[in-house]
Amino acid sequence: MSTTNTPTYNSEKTEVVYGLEKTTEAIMKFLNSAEVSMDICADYTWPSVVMGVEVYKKGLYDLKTRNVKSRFVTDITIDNIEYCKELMQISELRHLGGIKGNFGISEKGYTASATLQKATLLQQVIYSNTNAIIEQQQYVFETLWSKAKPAEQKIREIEEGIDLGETKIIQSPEKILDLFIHLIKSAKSEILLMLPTINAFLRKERIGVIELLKRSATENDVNVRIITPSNDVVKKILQNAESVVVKRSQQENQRKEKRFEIQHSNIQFKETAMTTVTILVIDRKESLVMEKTDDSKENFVDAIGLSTHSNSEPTVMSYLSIFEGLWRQVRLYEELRESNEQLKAHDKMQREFINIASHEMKTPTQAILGTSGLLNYYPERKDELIEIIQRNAKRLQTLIGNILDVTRIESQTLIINKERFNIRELISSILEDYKDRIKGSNIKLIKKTNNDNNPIFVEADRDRIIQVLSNLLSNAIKFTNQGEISISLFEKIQDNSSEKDGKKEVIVSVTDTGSGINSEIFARLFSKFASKSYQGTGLGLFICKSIIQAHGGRIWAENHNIGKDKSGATITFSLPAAIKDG
Amino acid sequence: MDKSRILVVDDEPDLIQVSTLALEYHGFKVDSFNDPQEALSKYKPGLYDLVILDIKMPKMDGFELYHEIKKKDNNANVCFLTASELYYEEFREKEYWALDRNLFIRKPIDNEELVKKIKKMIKK
Repeated sequence: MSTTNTPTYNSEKTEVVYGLEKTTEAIMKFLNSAEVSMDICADYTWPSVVMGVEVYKKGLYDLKTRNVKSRFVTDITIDNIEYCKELMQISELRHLGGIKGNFGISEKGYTASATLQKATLLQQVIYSNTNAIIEQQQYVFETLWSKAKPAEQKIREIEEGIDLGETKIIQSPEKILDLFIHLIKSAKSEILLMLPTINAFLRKERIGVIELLKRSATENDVNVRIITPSNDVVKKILQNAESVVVKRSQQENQRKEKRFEIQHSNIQFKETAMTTVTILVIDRKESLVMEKTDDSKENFVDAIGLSTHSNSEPTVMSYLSIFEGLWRQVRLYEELRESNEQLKAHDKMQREFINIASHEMKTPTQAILGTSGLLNYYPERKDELIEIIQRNAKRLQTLIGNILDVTRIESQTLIINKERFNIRELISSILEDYKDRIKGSNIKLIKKTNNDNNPIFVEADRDRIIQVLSNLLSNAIKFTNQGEISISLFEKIQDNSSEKDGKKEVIVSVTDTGSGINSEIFARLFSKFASKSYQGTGLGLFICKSIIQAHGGRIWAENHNIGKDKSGATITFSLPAAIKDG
Repeated sequence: MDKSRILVVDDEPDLIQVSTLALEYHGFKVDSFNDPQEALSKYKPGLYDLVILDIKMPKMDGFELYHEIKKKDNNANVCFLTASELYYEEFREKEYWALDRNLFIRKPIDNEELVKKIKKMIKK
């Protein structure tokens, strides 16, 4: 029945061996029987077991003595590195990160143990000399061996501190969510988050991510940067977060650098170029990239697809550079848009200026040209006509003066010739002059000062101050049909100066009971071309502001309701008082 | 021969006076208004041989007034006397491209030249 050229059934066996003594015996028998090859695959605890237990160690060294060709695969770590170096004396050694399962194959048999404990003997071992099992396990070993990395390389990486890390694919949405939250919480210095869609932002907001980021920024001084597409809802949420962070940093008087920055990536990407993943980079050490499968889903877990988590430097740095690149691009785009808008505004202002200036020049020119022609037609009305010519020539003169002043202001060549003079006296004389001009109108001009008539000295350009006061009075008259225009003057200690320093300033106000300042132009009242009047260039107050500022003073405007049917405006300016000389 | 009758609307009193005196001297009958809204409310269809409008005016600009007058009096002969470059250019380019550019008289202009242009327009 039996044949001679095939192994008998009886000679092939597969068994489980229990107990310390028997397992050790089985393993030693397995090691010592090998004459050709010995392939061992084992987890990171194995090097310490075989090199730490004398019998095993001897068994392995004997392999070398017998010239058995051996190959070992294990997980080389910083903890077992010394044992591994020793193993390299005996055998070719390779590293496979995270390898589990412990088995050996020789040309004669196969052994495997369920578990290994560090530097202890085995309690339970499987042994087999069945050819089919040996063959099959040999394939398993070859596969692992081909994927493993030479021990020399891995040891060098560990010793030189190069940790290549690893990149893992995670499929379970729940695990991805846990990891996502964990990573954000673990951040020590920096969180970069890039979101592909508005819905992606809102999903993350719903699970409290924005709140977490806010906390990282405020409590752990983590720099948070987010790139997200946005709409009004997103903007509101983020503004809220930003303001909390800013407030907090101000309270704690921290360094001024921003802890929480957002770029709204409203750039229209081409669909192919658009990222459809969420990218999270933590401390420049770890990245989590999450695909979204269905952007219409409300829940994070329902919308999420495959994700890759990496702590491998090249991968993390790549995502970092993608983030930084987009960050810069979005910022550049913003800057470009802003400067473009400024250019447009500037261009509009230039055109406006030409329009107003040309209208304001042509109107009196027309009057002068036409009226001078009329002198031939109506010689008997000469006086009346010459008055029209003079009035319009003066208007032209004022305009030319204003345009020249604006040119000087803008080219920063406005010259202030300071002299010391009594501003109380100056105001009185200007008022007398204006009282003559408004004779016959329904306007009353009054001077309001505390009763003393002590001189108030300023050091200023007398002509320029006359120009400012005339402008303010002319405006007040222009906008007041009837009522009163008052001018007040007093001296006070400067707000930001202590009593001791005694820095004084002179405050001059012109108040009218006219129509008040139009709300449309109130905010830009002192800028060029701010005018609601159809006669005027809107240059006057701009020039006044520039003159006052050139003296180190301030100018401001107020509207007020004085009572029933009464309104009005006050324009006030300040000038530094002259230092009293002895 | 009946005198041609002209309506002048301009917010500048001095310019109204100049135009009125110049045109009267050349034999026109002139009505004038400082206020475009008043000009519109008192407008009498068919009365004028020519209406001369300023463009930049408070309350209602010359173009608006043009439309309102045309509503009341489709046959009204209207032209513009303007000192405003931008209005002139912009409106000629945009919605008023259809208006004959000869309808625009640009300030400043002397009396003789003004009268010449006006006579041409009335003949049309």
